[in-house]
Amino acid sequence: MSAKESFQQLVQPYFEKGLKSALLTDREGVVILEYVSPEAPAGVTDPSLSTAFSIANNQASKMGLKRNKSIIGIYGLHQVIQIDCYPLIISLVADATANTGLFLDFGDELQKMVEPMVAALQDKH
Amino acid sequence: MLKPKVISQVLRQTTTGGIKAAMLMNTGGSLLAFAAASDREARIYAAIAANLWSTYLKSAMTGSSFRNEADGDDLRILILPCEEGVVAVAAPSTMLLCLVGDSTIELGLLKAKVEAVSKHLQEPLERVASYQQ
Repeated sequence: MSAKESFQQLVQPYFEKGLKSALLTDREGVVILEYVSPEAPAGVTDPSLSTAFSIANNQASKMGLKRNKSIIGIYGLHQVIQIDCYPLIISLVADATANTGLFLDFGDELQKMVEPMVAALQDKH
Repeated sequence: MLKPKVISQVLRQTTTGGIKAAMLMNTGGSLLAFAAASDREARIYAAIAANLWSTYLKSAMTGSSFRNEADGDDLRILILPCEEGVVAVAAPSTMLLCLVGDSTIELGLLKAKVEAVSKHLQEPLERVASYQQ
């Protein structure tokens, strides 16, 4: 099974629970793996989401609370959960009322799935 | 008008159950009132939290309906889980409220607290909002 297929298989059940899109990007916003629901709002794949996280993650790690692991942005209609897997970023967009804890756990699951990719990229750096 | 002493008391009341610092600041990161172990710590948290808030606000200005203030999808809360603590930021009126919890605090509790304090401060801060422009 390809990485794209196993990514889709992992993501799909969460669409019933309010998830709108799941993206794996690099820190410049280039999409590596994506699965977007037909109901997702326009602009979920916008690179600005990943670049904002990249800057914010770096700054948040300087607050004296050690490394920043993730950033959750709650908007009026949506919530954006971004998880750091340096040098990659997992971005999940869901309904504002959806269960944030569930998606954080799901983010950990995705993080385990992309671990080999992250290790390969870190070797390169 | 605003009573600075009362704001500090409100912030101090939030520093229970794993919350170690509470700050009220403007969008530039300058402190109005705080309850923290040291003023240096409070200044650092405030400056970085305000910068993060503005980073996310600026990134949303893409013109699409997603994260667009005009369509009611405006930024309400930012939560930043770190290895040794969690930071939550909200915007009562034109100000920013920042709570810092230790690593034992539950995210839901922190979110509920930041929402409650923000709602409590919203109305009095709204009254002085016009003077800040």
